[in-house]
Formats: sequence, structure tokens, C-alpha cells
Amino acid sequence: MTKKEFNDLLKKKILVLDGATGTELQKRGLPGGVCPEKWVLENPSVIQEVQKSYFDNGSDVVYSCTFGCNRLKLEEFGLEKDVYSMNKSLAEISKAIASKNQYVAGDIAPTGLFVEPFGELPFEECVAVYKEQAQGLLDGGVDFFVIETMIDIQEMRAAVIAIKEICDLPIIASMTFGEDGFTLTGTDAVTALITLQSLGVSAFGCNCSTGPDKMLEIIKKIKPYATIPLVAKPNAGLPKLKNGKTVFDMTPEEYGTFVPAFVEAGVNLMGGCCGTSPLYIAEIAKCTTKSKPVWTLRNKLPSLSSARGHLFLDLGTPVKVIGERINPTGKKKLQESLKEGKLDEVKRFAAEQESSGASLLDVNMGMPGINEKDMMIASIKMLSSSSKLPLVIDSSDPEIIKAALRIYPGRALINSISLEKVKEPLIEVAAEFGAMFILLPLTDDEIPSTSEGRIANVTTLLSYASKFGLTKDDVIIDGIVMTVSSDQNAALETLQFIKWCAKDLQANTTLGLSNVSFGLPERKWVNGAFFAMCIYNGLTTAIANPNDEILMNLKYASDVLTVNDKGSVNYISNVVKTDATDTVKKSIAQKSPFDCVVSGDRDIIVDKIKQLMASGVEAATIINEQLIPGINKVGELYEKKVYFLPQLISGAEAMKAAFSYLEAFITKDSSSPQKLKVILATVKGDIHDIGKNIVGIMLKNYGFDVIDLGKDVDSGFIIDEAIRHNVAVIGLSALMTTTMIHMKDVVKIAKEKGVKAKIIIGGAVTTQEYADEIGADGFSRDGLDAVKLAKKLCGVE
Amino acid sequence: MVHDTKTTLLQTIKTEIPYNRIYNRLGFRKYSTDLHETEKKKIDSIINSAVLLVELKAVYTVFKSVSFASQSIITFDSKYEFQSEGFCDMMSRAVSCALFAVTAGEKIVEARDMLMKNNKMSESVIYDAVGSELAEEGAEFVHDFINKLIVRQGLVVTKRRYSPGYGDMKLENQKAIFSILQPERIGISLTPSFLMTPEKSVTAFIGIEEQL
Repeated sequence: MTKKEFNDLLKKKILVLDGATGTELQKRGLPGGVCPEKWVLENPSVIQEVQKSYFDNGSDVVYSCTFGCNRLKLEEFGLEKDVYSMNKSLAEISKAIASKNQYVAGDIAPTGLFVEPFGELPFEECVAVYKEQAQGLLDGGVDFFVIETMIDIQEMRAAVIAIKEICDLPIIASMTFGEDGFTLTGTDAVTALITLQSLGVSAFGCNCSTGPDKMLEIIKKIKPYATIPLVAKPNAGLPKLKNGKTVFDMTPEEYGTFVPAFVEAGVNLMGGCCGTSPLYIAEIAKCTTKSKPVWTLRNKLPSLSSARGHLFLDLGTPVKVIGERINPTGKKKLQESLKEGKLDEVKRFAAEQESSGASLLDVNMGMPGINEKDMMIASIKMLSSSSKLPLVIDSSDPEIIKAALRIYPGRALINSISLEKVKEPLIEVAAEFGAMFILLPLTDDEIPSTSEGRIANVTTLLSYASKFGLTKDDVIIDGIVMTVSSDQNAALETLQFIKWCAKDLQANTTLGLSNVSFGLPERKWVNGAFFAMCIYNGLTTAIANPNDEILMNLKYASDVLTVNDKGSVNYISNVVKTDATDTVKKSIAQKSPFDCVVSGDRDIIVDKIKQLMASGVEAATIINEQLIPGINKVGELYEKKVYFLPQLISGAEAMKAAFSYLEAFITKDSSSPQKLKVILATVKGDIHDIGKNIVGIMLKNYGFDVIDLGKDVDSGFIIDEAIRHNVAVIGLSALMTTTMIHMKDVVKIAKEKGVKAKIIIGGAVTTQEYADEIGADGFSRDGLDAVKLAKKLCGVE
Repeated sequence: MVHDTKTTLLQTIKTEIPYNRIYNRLGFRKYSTDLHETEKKKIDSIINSAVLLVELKAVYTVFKSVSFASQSIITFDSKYEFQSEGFCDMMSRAVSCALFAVTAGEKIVEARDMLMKNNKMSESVIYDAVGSELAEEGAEFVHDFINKLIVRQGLVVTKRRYSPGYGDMKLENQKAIFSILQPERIGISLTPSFLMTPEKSVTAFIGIEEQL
């Protein structure tokens, strides 16, 4: 069946699919634990009886019995070498009973593994697995394909690409969404629809997992965005396990009551999944045979998607910023990390731009000294799992763009395609993978300086793109920005061109803004004014740095003035409050060292102390009247839970910075009291030391001399060091029940060697009771408590 | 039919940032802690930087059968035996069991230690809390993931998880868990005292029960 025949059929009627197959086979003798497909090949009359029953009860389509007939599933039964022959034979068995106007869909389902980057199955291996299965089904004579029960968008894409590479038959893509509306790997239905309809499937929808009520919600949600027919195959309600068997709680009649709502919501193919039987299908057929199908509500949907999110590019909505930062040009740190094969900087730029309000992320890996293709692929894999934003594939090399589009689990935007000879073939690639592209209206010979020249190039390129089924809704047109310092009319030409794209062509547009101001001083003002003017003339996206406060605030403000931000919602919630920064600056000027300790300002406390000392205040006075009261205040606030841990430690760190500076000014003589020494250690076998380190800094701030032995420290060594340094306190830390037993060893050795130092313990699993049990002198629950305990045990006020 | 403790790797788990849980772990109390907006922004920014270093990965398996040799000994697939009364109690209604290991990776721990070494302790404790809570978030993800996998069979996971070192399940059980899951493939190794490195890693059992 051709795609046209498929569509023509669906315009006339709602196609009725089959119901569950496994349970019907079990009723007829399929034993547990065997390979169902092999059993069916040995008992072909059984599947033919089941499928005939479906046809007799109203099904127009039955699925070939090949759900688990891919190499990875058949490997479990040692049948991996028979993939092709089994699929071909199983398709033929079903085709043999199909009469005129009855169809067989070649059934393809999950491999049971997850595809990279989420899982471990390489994408190309997954494509190869499905291609092998699809070839068998194709040669067995299936009328079209159905890929069903998919829980991972990338595995679904692999199956679609596999089929597209061997034939042009229609493909029905059906995914499984949970009650929360997401697939197991986190893709929502609208996102999956955008990705798959652009990839060229002929119908999209869902099966399994939920009953008809929840599935109806999904169909209603996706219908407005679908440019292809929709499919639904719900379970017979909710599953329950009874006597070791899964049963469903909905009767055929009850199931049938939902069918009119599905028809009204616009379903075009409907059948049943787990728990259904020919009786359920009869209920569907009863309703659909007398109903007129609701065809798609639109032909095109300007939109982009990632694995876990999507972006509509409707005109008349707020301007979208394409984050331009993932580009090594002029970024030394990014260049260095890419040369080392690291993607940490790419990840950081992505997160930073996402939080600053970017709607899309441009990814460019063009720089000398690296393999651009490898780094582009690695970046795409990393970003497609770490960011929800759709990606813009930015390269001058068509091969790299093609490789990136193939593995990208969404609908990407290509940056860019022009009338240059090297770029033109990319239009076919965009069509193959369903990508949108930035249309750059220039040729090998000329960058048109006038609006008319650019319009002519747009028209030529769109005419060529239409041969591949692409329209103005599949492109974002680059307005081309020339510098006003060499031609002052340049900006006006761009504005006129943007206006034509927006008003006459009704197409999306974009710009790389900053070129307009090249050669002028204080460029930000020119860039900002130009940006606002472009938005007024209909600009819909901009390639820019979303961390640029001026540009982003201009965007939010312009969206209000053009009525694209309804109710000024985005403006109010996003515009940066510069007043707050001024207040902070002012308060810093008025701070004393006491305030710095209390607010944990370690970076300014030394300057404040220098100011005081310059006015004649002595170091000892600063310590006694500012720093010690400061740290006591911090401790008091922490105890009252007004402060939490980062504030307590920030206070301690400010104090430490102040002490380090003042040490040189404090007169030392023999009458000064010696600091009490404390040894700290995480006990043998334990590798956790963050708590011990917090205790260390707190003790130092309260005047103790701290010797930190680190983690996983031998019990005997702790005592030897305690003796060597003549310490007053031994502090032991442990996080695990299995390691805290070593605290007892330390106490025992200390007693054997006559060590007088007080032993205190702490850590998540320790308690006062445990301290008493092992003969320790005390237990502390946190750093501040440890200071109090150490002071008390040493008789210090 | 062949089934030899098939394990599944999840190499790039992405979760939302659990800000509230990170703050709570650091002692933040909604009705008493006084945190100025500027300070909060600074802490959020440190959290965001730390999250970039977290690389959540997991490996799991679902056992086919469960049997009890006594009140405190449970056996999976007739060959893996674990002793713990508390765990057996949690599993009393289970028909099957999932076992998993999840890690937040080495980078976050290295960065935390580096901050500590450079006397940036307040940042270091925040990094530590991010590592702990993201590892926990990873465990939640796998817990929920397995639930979604089994729900259509009329099964449901237990709300609780059970880990070695918890209750009466000895930490030594990590050795058997490692032989089943081989979490070295996601970068987790075991110290001689049965602690996991990277430190921010979790292993746990989840019971699988019939849906009532």
C-alpha cells in the first residue's frame, strides 16, 4: 500500500485494528516460557484462527505475530539466526487469510534494551536489528508497518529509520505513555508526535499501559498538533494479577462506551491492546462503521523538539532566543576542553543559557585541532540527555549535519542552508530527517544588499525545497545583518526584509544581531535598538547570548509592546531587578568585621579590618570586640535554626580569613596561653570526612589547634599521634555502623597506653548511648556542638 | 528459556534538581531559617554548578522468583541468598524483586574535595549535599522506572527500598550484589570494608508485589 492509498483510505473511514494476540494464543494452547513466534510457526492455524476472528468481528487490520521477532529478543531462545525467515513466514501466514480490504501490518516492538545515550545499545546497531526484521516482513508481503509499545523515543526513531531505508510503505508509530502522560524515558505525547511526524511516519498514537479513559486524554491533547492520522489501542482497563495471571477490569460493553469519544476526539485508527479480545473489537467496529473520520486539523506545524521537550514556533508569540554560546570561536577555555575531548564546558554553557531564558541551543564544534564530527556527535548525545531544549545543528560541513541529525532524538534546526552549491543538497537531508532549517538567502556569488534580492533568493530556495515536501513552515529565514558603519542603509534593508517575511510570507525569521554595530563605539546600544526594531517588524527568533541582560530585557519589553507577551506575564517574571544589586553594594559599604562574620563575607572582611586598623584600632580589639562576638552570634543563630549549615560555615570561613590576616599583628610572648590541641580522624575503613572537616574548622575558630589525620585512619596510629602531639582531645568520626566499631578499638588502645586525652565521637550513626557503651567521653551531633563539648571537657570558658 | 540475571544499564539519567531536599539536608528550615534573596541566589548558583558535575548512571536487574528459606533468609532465582529479617519482612508479600546500583559519579566528589582543599568549605558542603541528594534522586528514578516497567503486568513495587548496611542487613552483602550487577561498568567499586566509591552511590533492593 502506498502512503497516498493509506491516507485516502483513512480519509474515508476509521480503520479498525485488532486486539490482544498473546492472551488469545494462550487460550488456544500457547504454553508459558516458550518463544511465541516459534510456537506460532509450528501451529500456524492457531494464529490464523485468532486473526480470522478479529477480521470477522470488524478488524480491517491485523498485526503480524512478530512482536518479539527481532534479533535481540530471539537471542533469548537461541533463534537469532532465523530473524529474516521467521518474520517472512509469519507475515505470509497472516496475509494468507486476509481478504480484499483486509490488511496485515508488519509488527515491530521494543528490543528490550535501551538505546544510547540513555541505555547501552548503540543507535546504529538498533537500526540494523530493526532493518533485518523489517526486511523479512516486507518480503512476507505486509501492507504497511506498525511500530508499537515503544517506551523510548530513540528506539522508535531507530525503527522508523530502519524501515525508511528499505522501503516507502506507510509506518504507524505507536508509543506507550504512562498515567502521567510520559513514556518511560520521559517523552510526552506532543513531543513524540512532533519528532515522529516530521520524521515521516504516516500515523502516530499510543497503545498499552493505560485504559481508554487516560488514552482518550492523550488523543485529545495531540490532535490539534497532528499533521497525520492518529491511532489508539487502549488496554481493557487496569491490570491486576489473579492467581499468577494478569487480568483487566473492563468488560467489552464498558470499553465500547468510550469509542464515540475517541471518534469525536479525532482518532483515525483504533483497536485494543492487553486484555482485549474480538468481543472488544466488535464494540469498536459497531461505533466506527457509522462514524465519519475527523481528518488532520493542519497540514504543517512549525515546531522543534528534543527528547523531552518541544517548542512551537507560531507567529505572534514571544521572540525565542537561540543560545549562541556553544561555539569555540573566541572562547579559549572551551577550545582547550574540546581539544582534550571534554564536554564539561559545553554542558555548563547549555545549563547557563537554559537558565537565562534561551529557547534553543546552537551547537557549533568548528575549530582547528579537533575532529569536528566526533565532537559534534558527542555533544549532541550529551546535550540530548542533559537539556530539554531543542538543538540547532550548526556546521559548514553537510556530512556532519547529516550525522548529527541521524542520532538526534528530536526535531532539530539546521544552521543553515543557502543557495550555495555545497549547501543545497542539505535540503534533501532536512527532508529525510524531518529537520527545520535556517534559510540563508544568499548564493555562491552574492550576499544581496537589498531586501528585493533576498526575497528573490528565498523564493528560489523555497521552490526547490517544495520538491521534497518542505514549505515555509519548515524554515526560519535569516534576515542577514550587514554593518551600518560601512552602509548606513543596511539595517533598514534588513528591517524591510524581516517585515516581508513576517507579514507577506508569514514565516519565522532570525538574526545574528551584533554584526550591525561592527566598527562603532558602545555597540550594545546599537545592537539593542536594532533588536527592538526587528521585533517590531516581526522578528520571531534571534541568535544571541541569553546572558546579555540588556538584550534579554529588551526582548521581554518588546514582547509586551507587540502584544506577543499576553498579560505581560514573561516580562514581570523575568526582567532582572537591577535595584537589588545596588542595595547589596550599598550594604557592603556599611559593613563592619562583626557584620562580615555574621553574614559570612570572607572576601571583604580583610579590607574592613584594614580600614579599622588604619584608623588606629588594634588587632586585639578587633578580635575581642568584633570577631569573637561575630562568631558567637553565628553560633547562636545556627542553634536557633535561623541559620543553616552554609551560613554557619561561611561565618567560620570569614572568621578564619580575618584571623589569618591578624595573626601577624598579635604580639606573642611566653606568657600567652598555649592553644589546646585536638586530633581529628575518620576511623579505619570509613571514607566519609565532610562532617569531620566541619568540626575541624569550627574548633579552629574557637581557638583550638587542630591536627587532622584524614580518613580511613588506623586505630593505633590515632593514639600514637595523640601521644606524640600531647593532645587534649581526640575526635573520631564514622558514618557507617560497620565502621563505627573501630571507635571502640581507639578507646581501648587509649586506655591501654594511659592516654589522658578526652575522646569525643560523632557521625550519622553515632549516639550518646554508643559513646557511653564504648567508654568515650562524649558525643556531639554537629560542629558547633563539638566545640561546646571540647570546651567543657577541657574546662575552657 | 535462558535467563541468567540479565542486567540493564542506564547511562545518562536526568532528573530535576531537588532544591528543597538539598536545602533541607543542609539544615534549612522553612519557618525559622532567615536567608536573604541574594544569599539564596548565591547558594542556588553553587548548587547549579555542582549539578553539572553529577553524572547519574544505574544498573539494575529484576529477579524472576523469590523464596524464603527462613524468617530471615531470602533467595532469588534459586541461587542468590541474602540474610536479613528486616528485608524479609519488607518482602513478605513480594512475588519478585529488583536490585539496582546507582551513582552520581566521581566528578562531584573530586570537586567537593578540591574545594575543601582550597579552603572553600561552604561550597564544599553544598557540593556534598548535591552529590548525596542527586544519588538519592537517581535511586528514586530507578525505583519509579521499574514500577512503570511492571505496572502493565498487574504488579507494583514496594514503597520502601532495602540496602546493605540498613537495619540488620550486613554491609558484607555488597560483595554478592556486586557479583550480580557488576556496577564496575558504571564506575562503582568496593573498598575492602565494603564501602562504595564514588562515595555518592547507592545499592538497594525493591520488592515487587501483586497490585491489590
